[in-house]
Amino acid sequence: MKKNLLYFILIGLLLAILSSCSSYQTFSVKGTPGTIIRSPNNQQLGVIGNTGETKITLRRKDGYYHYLQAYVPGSSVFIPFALDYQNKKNIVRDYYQGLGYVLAGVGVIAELASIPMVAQDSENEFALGMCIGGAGVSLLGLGIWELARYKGGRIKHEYAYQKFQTTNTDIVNAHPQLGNVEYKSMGAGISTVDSQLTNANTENKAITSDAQSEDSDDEYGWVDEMFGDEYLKMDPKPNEKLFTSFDYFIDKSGKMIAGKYEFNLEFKKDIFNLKVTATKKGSTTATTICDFHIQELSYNIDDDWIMIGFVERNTTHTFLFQKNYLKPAKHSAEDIWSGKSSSSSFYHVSNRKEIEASVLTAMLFNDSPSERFYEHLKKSLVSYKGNCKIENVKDKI
Amino acid sequence: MLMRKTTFFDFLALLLAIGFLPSCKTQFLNVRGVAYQSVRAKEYVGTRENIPLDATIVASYLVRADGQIEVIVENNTNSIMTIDRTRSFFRNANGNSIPYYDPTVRVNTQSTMSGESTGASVNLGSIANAAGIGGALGTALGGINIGGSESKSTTNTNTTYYIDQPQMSIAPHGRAAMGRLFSIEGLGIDFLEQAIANSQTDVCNMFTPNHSYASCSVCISYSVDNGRTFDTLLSNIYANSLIVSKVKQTGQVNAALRNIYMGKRDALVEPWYLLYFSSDSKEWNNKVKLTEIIDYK
Repeated sequence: MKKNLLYFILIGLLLAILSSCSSYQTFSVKGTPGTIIRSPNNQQLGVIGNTGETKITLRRKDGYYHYLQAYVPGSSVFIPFALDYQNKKNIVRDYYQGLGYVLAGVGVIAELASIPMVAQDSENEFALGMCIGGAGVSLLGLGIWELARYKGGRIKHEYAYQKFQTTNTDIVNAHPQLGNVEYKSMGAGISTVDSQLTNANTENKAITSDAQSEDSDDEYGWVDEMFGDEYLKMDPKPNEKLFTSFDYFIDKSGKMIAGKYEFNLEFKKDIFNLKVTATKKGSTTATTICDFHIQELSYNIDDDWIMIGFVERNTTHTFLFQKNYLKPAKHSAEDIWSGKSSSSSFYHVSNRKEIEASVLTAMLFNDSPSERFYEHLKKSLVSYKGNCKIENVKDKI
Repeated sequence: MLMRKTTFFDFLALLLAIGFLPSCKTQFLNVRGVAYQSVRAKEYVGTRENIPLDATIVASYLVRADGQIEVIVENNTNSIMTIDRTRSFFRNANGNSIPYYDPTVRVNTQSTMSGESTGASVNLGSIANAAGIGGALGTALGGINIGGSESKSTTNTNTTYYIDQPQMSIAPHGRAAMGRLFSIEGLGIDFLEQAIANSQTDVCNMFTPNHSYASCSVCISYSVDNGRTFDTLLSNIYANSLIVSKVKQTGQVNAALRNIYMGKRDALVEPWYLLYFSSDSKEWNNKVKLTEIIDYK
């Protein structure tokens, strides 16, 4: 009786555990109410409700979804967001698969062992039972193995989606505009217009020396991200206009500040003696807003950083950048000093009000500076420190 | 009987324990990083609405996730357009120019043989088939035997010849594919996989047409006066961004993706972009915005 009870408990336990092995994974996605969540193949999976979240269920057998898409009604883009996961072993499935293997193996062995006995004595009940039982056990084993595999989703990797996922609708604008575009004109040559300038809804700031002096640090923050129309000439002449850039930048809060000025970078004598002029749109008069002289006072910090000073009148702008990556900053100066940032490369660490400095930064350290500029910079730095190594980031990839 | 039952239960308990042994094998998921690249034409046209009504030719460039580019040409006139494929070129970043016209004749032969043979002989018909020899010669060889044994067989051969056309015509307001796919070095999933593997830190770079790590030009020679005069449409395609964002903490993939959005605010509105997740798992691991890149003249 006790044995029968044990038998039922054992079988019940097996069935209960097996039924708990789900073929699906469920998690919550948080975001703006009304946001539609879609799969990579645009199948709607759910809509975020007024609670700010929705439950999403994915089949294990579909494999790991690296991302889903969020769509805010009325916006112009589907915004992919990645699904975070944790490594989690599916012990139940693994166990049943293992059990299935073992049962199948034992069943086959029992069956094979019984065959000679049955051949010798076809009346041998034990041998017959072993033969039939062995076949049954091996079939049972295969069944358990396949069921566990099916319910476990036939996956190759062990993972579980994090219980809470977040959309990226908070950092991607619902109607992003293409930046830095050289539009094809209709017969009048190439016009260079930045759509982000024309589409920015922010208040335009007058960029003059006087205007700058009235702006507080808080208003302008610092240069966090900047763009220009980067065409640094390969072989510039003295007093030649090198570069034209429309002024705009992103302030501390992520707001884009569009300007009314066109900036020009001009050589005074050579690449280390420059001036920046600003021309108000619609005006023909250019105002020199800063003269730059690159001071050769570079030095290393922890062998990874180079600092270069620019002198504008009585103000020194100090730029810090990682040796191997010459490009505009993506993080704030505070992040650098506090060590929070490790991936960005170029920072304007002083005189936050000087927007023209940011323009110059964008111009000098544009996305792909010319080799000639690298050479100049390298010589300058080497003359001071001797060990500075400047490489084009392209060579690093 | 009771003894046998007891043995069975003990045996079952033993199986339960043994079942755990094979379950120790584990392969965890590992998503290493997220990479992004985008492609533009040097002169941005935008959508089809921006194409002027008096444009003669419109070219659509379709870049695939593997970095291959396909060109579709559209005749925007009321005349028949002739494309000279011998003078239409794909030029890659290192300056190599390849014409769209490929004079190589490609042959596809399919043979079937039926029949019976006896003995250990070698039947030359099968050799002919294996060597791709078709037509009359293949059929003749089918009857030749070595070794004195017998063979009766019939060979049916279908041979298809692919010959490139030096010129192609497009009906008024019609469209046609240029017919050859070319790979743009530096674009595609394989490149991004390498970029993630080789980058020690995050990378966020924007590129101008003249300094891009991946670029190409397509030159299409066309005529709308029955081949008397030819004009050209030259389009420059280039990768204008490359962002690599490593997954810093196991499983925190979205943080890496958010870095990309922070680095490039217009990432999702580029005419063409490829978002790629480097991972052991290959399901749903990339997103390509396959919008056509348009140019016209």
